[in-house]
Amino acid sequence: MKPARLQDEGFTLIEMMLAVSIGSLMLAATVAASICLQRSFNAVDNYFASHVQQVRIIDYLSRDVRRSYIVTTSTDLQTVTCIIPNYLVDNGSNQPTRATPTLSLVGNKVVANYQASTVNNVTTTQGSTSISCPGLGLVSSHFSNANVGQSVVGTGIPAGTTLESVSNCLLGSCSQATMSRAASSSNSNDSLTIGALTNVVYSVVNQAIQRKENGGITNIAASADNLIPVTSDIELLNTEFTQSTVTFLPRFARGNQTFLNNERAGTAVFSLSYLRNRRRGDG
Amino acid sequence: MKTQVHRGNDGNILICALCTIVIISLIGANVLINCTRHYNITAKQLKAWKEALYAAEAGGDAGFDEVRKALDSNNLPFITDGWAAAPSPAPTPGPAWTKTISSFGQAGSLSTTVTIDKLTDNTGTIPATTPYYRIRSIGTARLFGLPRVGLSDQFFAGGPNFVANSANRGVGDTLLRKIDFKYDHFKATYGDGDGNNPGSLSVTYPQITRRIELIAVPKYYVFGGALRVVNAVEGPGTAGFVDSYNSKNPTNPNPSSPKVVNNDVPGPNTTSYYGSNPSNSTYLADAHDGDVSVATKSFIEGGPIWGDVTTNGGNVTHSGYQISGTIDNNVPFTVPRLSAPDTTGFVATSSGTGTITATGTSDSSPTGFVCSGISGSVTIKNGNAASDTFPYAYAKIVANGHITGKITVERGVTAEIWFTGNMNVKGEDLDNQNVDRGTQTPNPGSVGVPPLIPPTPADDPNPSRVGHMKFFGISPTAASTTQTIEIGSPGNIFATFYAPNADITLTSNVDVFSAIVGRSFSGNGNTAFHYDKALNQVQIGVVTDYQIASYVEDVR
Repeated sequence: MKPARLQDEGFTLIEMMLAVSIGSLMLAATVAASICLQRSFNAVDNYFASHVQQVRIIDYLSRDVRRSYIVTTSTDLQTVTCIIPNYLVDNGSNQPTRATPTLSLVGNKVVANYQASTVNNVTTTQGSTSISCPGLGLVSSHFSNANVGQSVVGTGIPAGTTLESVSNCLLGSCSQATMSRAASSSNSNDSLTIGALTNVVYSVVNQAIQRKENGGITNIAASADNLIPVTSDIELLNTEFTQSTVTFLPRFARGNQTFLNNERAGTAVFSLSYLRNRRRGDG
Repeated sequence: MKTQVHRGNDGNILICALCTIVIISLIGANVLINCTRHYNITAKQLKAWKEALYAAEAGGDAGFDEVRKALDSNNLPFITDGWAAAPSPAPTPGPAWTKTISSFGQAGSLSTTVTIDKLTDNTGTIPATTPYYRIRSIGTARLFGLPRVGLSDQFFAGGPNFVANSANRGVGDTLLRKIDFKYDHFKATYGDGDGNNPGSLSVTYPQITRRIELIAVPKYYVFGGALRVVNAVEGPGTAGFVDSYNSKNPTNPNPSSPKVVNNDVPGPNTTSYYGSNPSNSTYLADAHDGDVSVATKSFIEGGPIWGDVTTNGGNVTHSGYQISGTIDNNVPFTVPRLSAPDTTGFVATSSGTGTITATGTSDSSPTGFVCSGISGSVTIKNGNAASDTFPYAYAKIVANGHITGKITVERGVTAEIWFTGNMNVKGEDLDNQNVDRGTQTPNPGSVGVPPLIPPTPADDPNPSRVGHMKFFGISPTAASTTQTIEIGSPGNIFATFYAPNADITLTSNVDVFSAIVGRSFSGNGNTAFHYDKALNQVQIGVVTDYQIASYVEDVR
C-alpha cells in the first residue's frame, strides 16, 4: 500500500507575509483594545472611588457644620474650622459618655452648653488679647480660674483661641482675661462661650483631605484624582450656613486647561448646611 | 487506502481567543465589582445614612411638638399618642417618656425612637419651677442592597481617629457611616448612651442608626411681632396701616426728617418712629417688621401691613392683600392662659386712685400694689428719681376689676398693670411720660438743696418708651369667659397689651405704638399701628413657648 502523500507544500512568501501582516494587525488591535479597555475600566474605577471620597468629605463636613457653634473658612476656601460643643465626656475608659447640658442666658435667649459656660457683656478690642466683663457686682456671669486653657468663641474671636489667664478676681469670679490671640474686631456687648470645645479643622494636605479633631488626624479622603473642596461660610443677621463644593479631575481627562476645567466642574457635588447652634454675638 | 492526516491550527486560535476573552472578562468583572461596591456605598449606604438622620430629626420634631403641649393645660403632654414612661437612670434621673414611630419611608424601612427627659436648671438661668427638656431621638434606616459589601479603606489604619473606640471598630467608612451588619454596635458598646446596660443586640437587617439630642428651653418673651392673636384679626382699617421701628436705634441725625406722628409728642426724640418708608436706610431696615399672626383662618385686612403675616388655614395672598413681607397660611400656635400673679406683700390701694410711688429697682423686684380696679386717676411716681446711680423704678399693679380711669406713668418708671376685668378707656387716659432711650433730665434743685436728679444720670436700661407701660389681662377663671379691651380717641397709645383671653378693639384716629397679644383684634378707621422691635425682649415670667436651644449629633 502506498502511503498517502503528505501535502507539505509550504506557503509562498507572499502568502506568509500577508498572513503575518494580517495576524499582526489583529493581534495589535486586540492588544490595543485590551489596553484601552483596561484603561477605561481603571478610569471608571477611579472615578467611582473618587466619587465615594467626594461624598464622604461632604458628609463629614455637613455633619460637623450642622452641629457647630462657629464655622470659619480660609481665604482660599479650602480650610474650614468648626467649633463644636463637646458633647462626649472622656472618662478614660475608651467609652465616652454623654455630657449633661447647662443653661445660660445670651441676651434674652436661653442657650444650652455642654462642658462650657457663657460670659455675657464682654468687651473686646480689635488687635488686643485683653477682654473684660462688667464689674463683679453687676452681672452674674464672669471668667473663672477654671477657664484658663479652655477654648473661647464669640464675635471677633479667632478660631482656636484659648484663655491664657484671668485677673481682677473676687471670690473666684474674674472680670479680666487674656486670650491667646488678639480679637479681630471690637465689641462692647459680646457673649462668649468658654469651655472644653471641640475644634475640627478640614484642610488639604498633598492629595489628601485631612480632618483634625483637637489636633488628632482623621484622613477622610485621599485620591490621585486631585480632590479639591471649596467651602464658603455665609453669615447673615440671624443665621449662618456654609456652601461646600467638592470636585475632582478624572484621570481620563486629557486636553487643554479649559477642557480640564470643564471636566472638573462636571464632577461637582454641592452641599448646603445650616449651623444649628450658631453662637455669634446674639447666640 | 489512503489515510489523510490533518494538522490544522484551529485549536490554538480558539484557545487564544478564549484566553483573550477570559482576560478581558476578568478585567471587566473586577471593575464591575468595584463599581458595584462603590455604587453600593454612594447609593445604598449613603441613602440609608441620610435617611437615618431624617428619621432621627422626625423623632426630634415629634418630641418637640409634644413638649409644646405643656403650654396647654387642656392637652398635657406624654399622656396619649403612644407616649409611655421610660427609665431615666443616672446621670440625669428624673421623669422621662418615650415613643417609637416605626415603619415609615420606603418599604417601612425607617423608624425612630424618641426619649424625653424632664430636667431642672440649677444655675438660675430659668426658674427652678420651670422644666426644660432633653429630647434624644434615634433614627434607624434599613440598609438595602448587598449586605456584605466591603468598605473603603482609605483611613489611616490604627490612627488617632475621632471616635474613641475606633480602634475596635476598624477604619474606612465605618468611622462615618457606622453600619450595623449583624449587631447594634452602639448598644453593645455604650448601652443607653450613658454606659448603662451595654450588651449585644442582633439586628434583623443591616441598618444604619443616627442619634441626635435637642434641648428645648422655655421662652419667656412675648412680643415677637406687632399682633399675635388666637382667634381673629380684623385690621388695620382702610386708612390705617401696620409698620415697625426700633427704639434701640440711635436718633435720626437729621432733625428735619419727617415724623408721621406729631400729636401727643411732648418733645423731640420721644420715639424713634420715622414712618413706614423712611428715606434713611437705617430706619427703613426696622420699618417693615410689623408682623401679624393669627392662629385661625380669620384674617381681614383693610390697610397695608409692613411685615409678615401668618394664618392657620387662611387664604391670604400678596395679590389679594397689601402685605410687604412673607405670607404663610400654615402656622398653628397657642397662647397659654395668663394666671394671676402672687400678690403677697403688695401694698393695697383704694380703687387705684391717687398717687403711688414705685421704688423697685428691677423687673424682677418691682414695688407691688393691689387694688380692686382703676376707675379714677392714678399716677405712678418714680421714687428713685433722686438716686445717684439708678434713677429708675419698677412697679407692678394688680387690679382685681375693671380699668376705666386714667393711668399716668412718670418718666423713669416701668409699670406692669395686671387686671382681671375689662378695660374701656381713651388713648389719652394711658399717659406714658417716658421716651425712647431715655435718661433722666438733670434737676439741680435749688440753692442749698441737693440735686433732685444727678447731672449725668445713667441711661434707662429699658430703651422702649412703649415698654414702660405694660398691660396684662389675667385670663378669667371660667374657660368660656372672655375679657374686652376697648380704646378710642382722642390720644395716642404708648403701651403693650398681653391678654390671651381678651377681645381687643381700637377705634378712631389713634396712633398705637404697641405690641399686642390677645384673643381677637379689631382696628377700624385710620388706626395706625407701630410695633417697636425692642419689645421682643419683654419678658413676663410666664412661659409662652418652647424653643430648641441646642442641637448635637451623637457621633459614637
